[in-house]
Parts: sequence; structure tokens; C-alpha cells
Amino acid sequence: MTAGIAMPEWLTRLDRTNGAWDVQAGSSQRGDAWTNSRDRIMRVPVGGDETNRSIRAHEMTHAKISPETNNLGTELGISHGSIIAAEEFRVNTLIKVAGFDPDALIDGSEKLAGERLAQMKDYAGMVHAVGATAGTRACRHFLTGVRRADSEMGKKLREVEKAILSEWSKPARRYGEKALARRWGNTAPTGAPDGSSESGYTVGYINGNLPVARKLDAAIEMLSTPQSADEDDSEPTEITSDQLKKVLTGKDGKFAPLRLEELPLTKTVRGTLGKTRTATNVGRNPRRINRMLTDPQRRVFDRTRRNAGGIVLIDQSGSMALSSEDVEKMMEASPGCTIIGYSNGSRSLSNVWVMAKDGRRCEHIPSGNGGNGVDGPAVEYAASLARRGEPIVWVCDGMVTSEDDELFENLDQQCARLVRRHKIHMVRDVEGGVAALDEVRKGRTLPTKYVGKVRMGAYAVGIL
Amino acid sequence: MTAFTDITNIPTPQCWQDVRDVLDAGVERIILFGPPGTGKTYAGLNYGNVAAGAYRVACTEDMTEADITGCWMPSANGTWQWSMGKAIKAWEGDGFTGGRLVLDEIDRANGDVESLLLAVTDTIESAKWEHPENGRSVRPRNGFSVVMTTNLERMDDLPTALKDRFPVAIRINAPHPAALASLPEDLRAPALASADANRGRRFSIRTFQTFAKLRGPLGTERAASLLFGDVAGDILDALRVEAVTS
Repeated sequence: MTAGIAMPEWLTRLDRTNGAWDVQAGSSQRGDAWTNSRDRIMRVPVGGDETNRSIRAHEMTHAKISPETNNLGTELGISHGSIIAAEEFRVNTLIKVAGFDPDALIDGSEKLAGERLAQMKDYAGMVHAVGATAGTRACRHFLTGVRRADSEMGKKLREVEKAILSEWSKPARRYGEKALARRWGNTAPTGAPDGSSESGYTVGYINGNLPVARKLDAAIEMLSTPQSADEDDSEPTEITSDQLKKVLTGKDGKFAPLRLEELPLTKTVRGTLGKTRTATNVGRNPRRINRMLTDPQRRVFDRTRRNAGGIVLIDQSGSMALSSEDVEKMMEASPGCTIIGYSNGSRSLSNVWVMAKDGRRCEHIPSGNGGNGVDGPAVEYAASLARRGEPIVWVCDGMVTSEDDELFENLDQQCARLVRRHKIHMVRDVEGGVAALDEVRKGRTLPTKYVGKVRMGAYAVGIL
Repeated sequence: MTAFTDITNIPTPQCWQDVRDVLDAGVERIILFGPPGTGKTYAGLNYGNVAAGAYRVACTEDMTEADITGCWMPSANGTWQWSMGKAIKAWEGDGFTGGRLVLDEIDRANGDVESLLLAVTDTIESAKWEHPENGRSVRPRNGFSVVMTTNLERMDDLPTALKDRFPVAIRINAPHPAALASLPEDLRAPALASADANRGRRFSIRTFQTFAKLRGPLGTERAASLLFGDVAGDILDALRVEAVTS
């Protein structure tokens, strides 16, 4: 048997420069192989068999794609254990695409570990083990062990595994395995998904790790929280595997239908927002001299024209905690704009209302403070009112929710697509909104911008 | 003054920046040490002020004074004439300014040569040699400089007196960007990282240049097995990991 050695020096990253590594000889026992990317130290088995080779490939993939710290994402509210498990899944998936055998990553302790964790009802431990080994022989052995102690739990964890695998398999069917592998392994540095200043994120980590880690956290939450069986007062029960499957794989979050309320716009608003330069054949300074040759009408001068305004969409749900003074502040900053507020469940008859339009505004600002619930339809309605070139500013923290005020990834993605299609500028709060409108007033164009979970959705659908 | 070439997209490693700064500042005695195949000799022969000529001496255990100061050689007319050693040639330079003496693998020189080198590499004021042919005293001309190179990792292994003549010792742990630029883009980062890796995983820039040349006609696997021997399989595994995400 020929001894092997890991060669992490041959790997490249886009987010940092590689250098010499200290590679130590370890064994193939679980836990005895590891990678410390920050100090460039790696411990791997030196044997030449397929297991050792796969372990070395696994650790080299960590060196290739994993962040320097293993808790990146905990500031987003994701648990540390789920982040680590999701990273293992990302790495195993990529080594499989590279032609290595992740089934070889097995040390014989899996069945016993599954049995023990099931006996202890260690939900987090079981979900993390399934997440880290999903799609490999180690996971099958682990589930066998779980079933020995708790057959129903085995079924539930199998649903968790399927849900995790679908994070890879579904987009892989759409984009192809190689293209998706490049995306999951992309080490191009990028900003934190929540727009914070947290550094260390890469495109691959955001696409390949965080969605899986969130799903693992959701599974732990569902497994460890007793569910109310029905609407009656019967004893809470554990979630069934069917329920778990629905929660983990369900993409059926949907927005409430738009119920528009036309408020009486009784007050007149003075002023307009923004200005545009257009070409004209009369003037003093010929700023467009090229038109002398290209324009039959020789419109070489500029004429500044005031814009009618733009569209301001304000999320007035409870999570935004906007007071009527805040909304008033926004309205004052956007003279001439169409201003739309929305919140589902706060008003019995409507969930979207127009507070200003065509130079007139309402007297009393409706209070929201319900759920979001109608983000998508509200954005579409706002976009339908925008004339060509008019800016759309969406004041929202990015926490878009379904009609039942629950979070769904498909809704994030739906909103991300809308933001891109209509070139919407999202801002988190009133201050951001006022600043954006100030830019419009100066005649500047607002860039398309994503915030919070909508930004995550944009990553998920490949916009960012 | 020969300028360093700035190669687009390859940042100059700190060690090479240090060499540039030291030579630009006019320091005339410098040791470059570190792993082989990083371009230490090339730098000695080409960087800094070498307009008056650069002379290379590769030290071995069997070398004699002849390589340093010179020796008598029979001439065609049956007489003997003095053949100047490279150190004296470097002292003389172009007749106006001293040249550059590059002493390679200094740790391999024997005791006699080491003693002679102490005299040769001394300061311009102290160094002196008498020409055996005409009895003329020869001193290094202004501008004479010496670059010593060695693969030793610890400067303590050099004789103290010799080390003392070279106040600046720079560890060269990365290939020069100009050498890296000669490689295909995908091999530059591995070459940079491998230059300073531990034994068994360290490969010089020359190995990478040959790998780049061979893999075209022979294919990556065959080229790797020819060049990297026992670790070829491990390198191919690393390339497989690299390829899947690149």
C-alpha cells in the first residue's frame, strides 16, 4: 500500500492567498482529521486506501472552500452545530462531484452513535449527524442505529436527509452538477447576507452552507417542540414524519391577495422630486456635441426637466415598528411621489393603501403594525404605477412573510426577482429612505438594492 | 540600475520587496537564503547596480583559491600567465566601478576558501590583494557588491566572521513574480505556495515550468508521474479538488 499525503498547496482561493501548509499524519478515525485554514495546518491519514484518500480529499476541500472560522453565520441566528454540519455536507457533495467516494468516509461507529443519540433523544445531535453525512453510507448506517432505538425517529430523520439532499439535487437538475459545484465552491468574497459588516463570507458559503444550516435548525426546532395536534385542547404530540416533510420541503408559502384601499387624498402637496436632462436644439452650452453628426434635429443642448416623482412603498408591519411620525417624515421627503403603505392583518378590509398620489395626500396616516403578508403583491402594484424611469424605493427590513405571517424561502426569492425586474431600491428604515430620496432629488439614479432575507433570496436564485 | 519587473496580477512577495529596498538603498553585502529554486542567484546576477558586470562563483567542497583570486595557466607560447579569478574581476568591474560577486551555495565552501572569502568580501577600505604577475596592489573599486546565496535555513550555520560581513540576510521564501509569470495562470498559486512547503511537498519553480511544458503533449497524469514520483497521485487528487470548483 502506497502512503499518501495531502497537497493543499496546490489549491487556490479567490478570497485569500494560499501558502505553505503544515500537514500532520493522523488516522482515519472520525475526528482525527481536521483542517485549520487560518494557520494552514491540516491533519490527515497517510494511508493509501480509498477511505484515507477520500478523507484527504475532504480536508483539502475544506482548505479550498471553507471560511477561516467555523462559526460564520451564527450572527444571523443560525446555530453553530448546524453551520458545521452544513459545511460537512457542502464539502462531501463537492468531493463526490470531483470523483471521490464519500461513501468511504465511514469508521464503523455510526450505527452505535445513532442508537445512543436516539436513546438520549438528542435531537440536535441526530439532525447534525444526518446533515453532516447526508447522502453517504455513513448516514445510512447512522439511521439504522437510530431505527434500532426509535423507528419513528428514523423515519423523521430520513425526511431531514431528503430535505437536505434536495438543496443540492433540485438546483443541480436545473443548472447541472458542474455548474452548481462551481457556485457552491466559489470563494469570491462577498458581503454578509444581512448587509452587516461581518466579513469572511464567500459566494459559495452563502449558497451552499447557509440554506442547509437553516433547514437543519428548522428540523431541530420541529423535532424538539411538541405540536398541538388539532384545534381542540388535546395533549400536544411530537411532529410526524409527514408533517416534518411538509415543513422542510414545502415551498407553498404564498402571499395574501392584494386588497387595495383608496384613502381620501384631501391635502395638496407642493413640489416634485428628481430631475432629468433631455436633449434639445436650443440652449447655451452644447453638452451633446456628438449629436451634431448623429441627430437629424441637432439637439446638442441640454434641458433640465423636473420629474413628477417616484414610488415609495412602505412596509408598515409590526417588525418595522414605524410610528406615524416616521411615515410622515417619509412623506415630507418625497413630495410628488406616489406613496403606498402595506401590512396584512392590521385592517379588516384592506392590506395595501395609497397615501399620496398625483400631488395629493391623505390627511391621516393609517397605522399598520400587523404582519407583512402581502409584500409581493404590494411590490407588483407599486411597480405597475411607476412610469418609465421613475425610481421605486421600498422601505422594508426584508422580512417578507406569507399570508399567515410565516417565513418562506420561495417568498424571499419571489421578492428578490421582483426587486431585480423593477430595479427597486430597498432600504431598511426611514432614515435610509430619506437618504435615498435625497439622492433622487439631486438627480441621481438609485441602484437596485436588496435587504435582509430578500438579499438571501437573491443569492438563492443566482441574482447576486 | 536594473528595475524589478512588476508583473500584472502577481503581487510582489514581501521578501522580494525587501531585496529591492535593500539594494536600492545601496547596501553592498547581502545574503539571500531559503528553499532552492526561488531565483536567489538570478536576483544576485541581475538586480541592483550590475552595470559593471556580475560574476558568479558556485562554491563546492573541492574548489580552490583559483576560482576566487585566480591561478597561473600555461599560455600558447610556452610561458605562464595569470588567469584572474572571478572575485578579482568583480573587484575591478569595468575599470571605473566595482562589479557584483555572486557566491552561490556558500555553505558548501571548504575552510581554505572560506578564509579567502573573508578577505575578499571585506570592506573596500580593508580588502587588498597583490597581483602575483606584476606585484601591483589591487583593491575593490567603489560600487563593488557581494550577494551570497545558500539553501541553509539557519544563518547560525555560517561562520560568524563571514556572516558579520553581511549585515543583511533575507529569507527568500517565494519565487520572484517574473519567474511566476512564466508559468500558466493555474500553476502560479501552487508554485508560490509550494516554494516554501515542507520537504516532500516542496517543488521549485523549475519543476513547475517543466510540468507546464510536459502536461501539454503528455497529459497531466503522465507529466505528474514523471516529475513528482511517489506524490504524483496526491497532486492529481489536489488538482481534482481544485478543478471541481474552478
